[in-house]
Amino acid sequence: MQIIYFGRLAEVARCGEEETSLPEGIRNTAELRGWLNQRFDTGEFASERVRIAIDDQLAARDRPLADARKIALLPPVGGG
Amino acid sequence: MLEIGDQAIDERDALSAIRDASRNAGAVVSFTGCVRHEDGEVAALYLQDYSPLTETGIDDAMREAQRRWSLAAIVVRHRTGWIGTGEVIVFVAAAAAHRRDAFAAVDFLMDTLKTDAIFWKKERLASGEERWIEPRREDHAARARWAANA
Repeated sequence: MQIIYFGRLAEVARCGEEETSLPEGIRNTAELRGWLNQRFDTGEFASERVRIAIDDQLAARDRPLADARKIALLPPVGGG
Repeated sequence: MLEIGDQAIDERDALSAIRDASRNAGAVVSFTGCVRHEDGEVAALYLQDYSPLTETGIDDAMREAQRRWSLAAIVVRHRTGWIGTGEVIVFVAAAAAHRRDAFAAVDFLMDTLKTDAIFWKKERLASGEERWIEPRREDHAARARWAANA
C-alpha cells in the first residue's frame, strides 16, 4: 500500500511517501490515525483538521481500509 | 478552463484565452495574485498540489460560480512548485454579459481558492528558514460570506 504525506506532514513522517503494509488490526481511518501517531511519536494525525483521502477520494472518519491501495494524509489546505 | 502547473503564468495569454472564449461578453474581470515579499522577509513560496483532487476541487468551485452567476466563461490558472517574489501564483478571470456577475464570480472563486483548494504552501524566508503556512482567519471569514448567501 502507498501512503502519501502532504505538506508539513511529510516532515512529521520524514518522507513524502512510502510503500508499506498496514499491521493487522488497522481496519479503518480512525485506527490508521492512531497507528501513525504511535509510529511517528506525534499527535498530529488525530487532528480533525488532517483529512484522509483513499484512492484519491476524501474519506469519512471511520471509513474501512480493506480495499485501499493508496492513502493520502492531508493537512489544512489553501491556494491563491 | 483550468490549468495547474509549474510554468510561469502568462497573464496576457490568460486574458486572451478568456476573451477568445467569450466574444460576446460585455464584461471581463480578472484577478492576478503574486508572491508578496513582505518587506524583504520572504524570498520564495512553494506550492504543492495533489492531482487529481486539486483539479476536481477547483472544477467544483468553477461549476458553483456558473450556478450562482450568469457567466460566459471562467479561466483559472494556478502555479505550483517554487515561485519567486513578484511572480504570479494565480490568475482568475470571469466573463459575463454584465460586470457585476463577473466581479462577484472572481471574488467568490478567489475566496474559495484561498481556503478550499487543495494546495499546501511553504515560505522560504530571506534567512533561509522554511515554514509551512495555512490560510489566515481573514481568509476563512471571507470564504464564510459566500455560505451565508448561497
